[in-house]
Amino acid sequence: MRPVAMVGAGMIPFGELFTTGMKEMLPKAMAAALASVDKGMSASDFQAAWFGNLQPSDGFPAGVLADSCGLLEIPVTRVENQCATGNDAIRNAALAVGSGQVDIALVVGADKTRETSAMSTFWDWMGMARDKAWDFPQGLIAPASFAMHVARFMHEYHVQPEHLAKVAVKNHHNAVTNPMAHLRFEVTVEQVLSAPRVAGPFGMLDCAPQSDGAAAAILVAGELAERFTDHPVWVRGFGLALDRVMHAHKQDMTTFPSTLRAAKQAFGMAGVGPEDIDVAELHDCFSGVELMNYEDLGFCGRGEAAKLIDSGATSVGGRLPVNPSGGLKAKGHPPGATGVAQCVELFEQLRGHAANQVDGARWGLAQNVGGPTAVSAVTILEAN
Amino acid sequence: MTRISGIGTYRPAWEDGNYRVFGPDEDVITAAVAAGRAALGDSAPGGAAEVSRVVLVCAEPDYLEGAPLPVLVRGLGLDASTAAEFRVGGAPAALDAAASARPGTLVVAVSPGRGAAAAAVHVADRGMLLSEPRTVAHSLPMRVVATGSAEPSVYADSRAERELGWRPIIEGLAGEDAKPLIVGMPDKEARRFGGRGVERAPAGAAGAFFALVDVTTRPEVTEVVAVDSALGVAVTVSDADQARVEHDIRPGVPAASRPRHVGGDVVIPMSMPSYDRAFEQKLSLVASRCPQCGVEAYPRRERCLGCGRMGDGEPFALPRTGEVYSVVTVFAPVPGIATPRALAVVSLPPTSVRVLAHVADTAVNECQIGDRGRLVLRLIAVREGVPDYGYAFQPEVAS
Repeated sequence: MRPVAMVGAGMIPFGELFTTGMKEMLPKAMAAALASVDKGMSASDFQAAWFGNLQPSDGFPAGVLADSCGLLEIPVTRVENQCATGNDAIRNAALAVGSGQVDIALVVGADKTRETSAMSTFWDWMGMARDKAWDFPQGLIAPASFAMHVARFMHEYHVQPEHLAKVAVKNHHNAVTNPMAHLRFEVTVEQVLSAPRVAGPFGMLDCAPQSDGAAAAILVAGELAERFTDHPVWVRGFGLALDRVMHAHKQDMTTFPSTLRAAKQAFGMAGVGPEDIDVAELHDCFSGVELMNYEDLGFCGRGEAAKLIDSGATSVGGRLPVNPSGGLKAKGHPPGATGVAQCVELFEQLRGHAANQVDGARWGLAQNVGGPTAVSAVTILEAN
Repeated sequence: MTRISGIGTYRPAWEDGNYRVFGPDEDVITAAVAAGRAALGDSAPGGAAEVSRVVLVCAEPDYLEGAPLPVLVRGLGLDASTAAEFRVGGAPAALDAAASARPGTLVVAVSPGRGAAAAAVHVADRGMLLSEPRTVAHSLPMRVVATGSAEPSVYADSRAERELGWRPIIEGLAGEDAKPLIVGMPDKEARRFGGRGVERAPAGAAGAFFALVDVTTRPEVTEVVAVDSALGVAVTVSDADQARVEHDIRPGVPAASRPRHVGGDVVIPMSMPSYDRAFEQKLSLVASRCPQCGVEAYPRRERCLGCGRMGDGEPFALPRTGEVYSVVTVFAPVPGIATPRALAVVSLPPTSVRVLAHVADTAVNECQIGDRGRLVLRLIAVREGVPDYGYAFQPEVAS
């Protein structure tokens, strides 16, 4: 595979975007990515596009992207892989560019979670991800599905509710200075612990918000990179892996095996290990999930995640800042956009102008885990 | 004459003052299954083998057509070829059904509503003897329930009820026992007629079999009378101590902590083909084992996880007791699902199978990882008007 460079990446601020429809969000995200290309690029330069989208809005996804962004001359493919959708869209585009078939590719991720009534959303989303006869009628909503893992994780490794709360506190803190973030306010450990309960160990403040949003990235063949920028970011590794879909079939719920598998692929491809990563954007849809991800990605040993968050290593200024953007927890979580937006953050980090800049960051890692905790995607980027 | 080898009773765990009430996951069918399994001896599978017919007696069924009778049969662990019938009626109908059944019949009587209870008798070739059944059909419509109406029409006059309703029935049924056990009226009224009432007997159909339970501890009683405003039935009872009695009645849990529907009205989508594919495995708790490598699957898999073999495996019945691997209480209101309620992943040793099930009959946050308990048939959700039944996890309670 030939080298693949990211030469542009941008997003619209995440939030409850009642006044902005899918057909407005998509061109805005594309324009933000184009505007970030140092030496300029236009939409007519794209040769193919991939659209990460979980829940179609205002039409079939590929058509809505092509139509709203004026991309009628090129192939547009919708990617759906639950919460791993965004990073999987990037993977698909990178494969196409790497293969030599496409020189300049657009990746967009977007979702409008607030487009349907809060009442119907639960069942719409569970209907996409659960066995119709077995798990669906149980009402295993997303927070409960992740809480089932985190409850067992806490039980086996004696992790305390305070450790979960610290993840929320850290990521909210980071979001305050990120103009793209949905929830830009600080929270305290006490507030997190005393917030209304949602499911298992999660209260309201342990949960990512339901956000609308869109993000875009531009991938080009390595040899073309300097036509667009002197500071490209290199797509060095990616992985995508699955796991058992039904909760009753998951052998060890203290881990997400799909993350282990996707990380192995991505690290192997990039030729680096977890110790080389300088900044990471991890899937913190629920506070405790970030802790599990530390262990699954090898940022610490089994059972050591609580110690890692306690040490401050994952705060900005620490050894391995995690979610300097605010993460899903506070930046927001429009699922199709989430993975792409993680890469937008890493693009800025690795070019040295992020809102919460990690000094000298060279290697960045983005990770998602989703569906009924059965799919993960990992992307590894390197600074020029 | 008929003989009764086993009597089972069930009362829901939720306690509202002095009454037990159904949880949101219970209905006539789930209560009937609980009482029926108690009558058959849940731990003795031989009991079910002797049953070829099930009669469900209830005055207020939840459903008149659709899934319930097949679900009842599967829930009782009976073969799909077992005949099942539904009989609308109260305590006299239940007593008549028991006294006129052939051996191999399970008669289940359910009283829903306030003071909910269910009771079942296993009619066999041994056990308590019911003989000389007598019937008086009488009509004094003191209480009328129109189908579809929420509230009964009641003619409130207790003297009229006694003198015009019960007296002709009791006199018409007069037998040899001077102090019969009478269900269907308050103890005070039963005594006026020279009989005695049954302590804490539920109103409605189940009361008849709670009376039979009472008889097993009162050797002096030789006659049981059941009345309602349409019918009186009396039977002579002997060999009362030869019926095995099993109660499925747990310590009460305050009904105030029952899960509630708070998410508003919503229609939960239903897929009839997927319901059908899952039905036998789900309701009969049948898993599958690969004949080639022994790996177990629940639900069945087309391709074996162990060796890749294609096609059906060997079916086997899952154990109905297990241990909580992980559990969380869902507090967020989920439209169509009562909350707060706990969901658990439950291991079923000695098999490798785990199931996802909601936690039944338990106050919030009471169920913990490692708790042991059993699987009980419950209503999981109502989907497009169709009741969707499955198994819930009921933790053991300290006795």
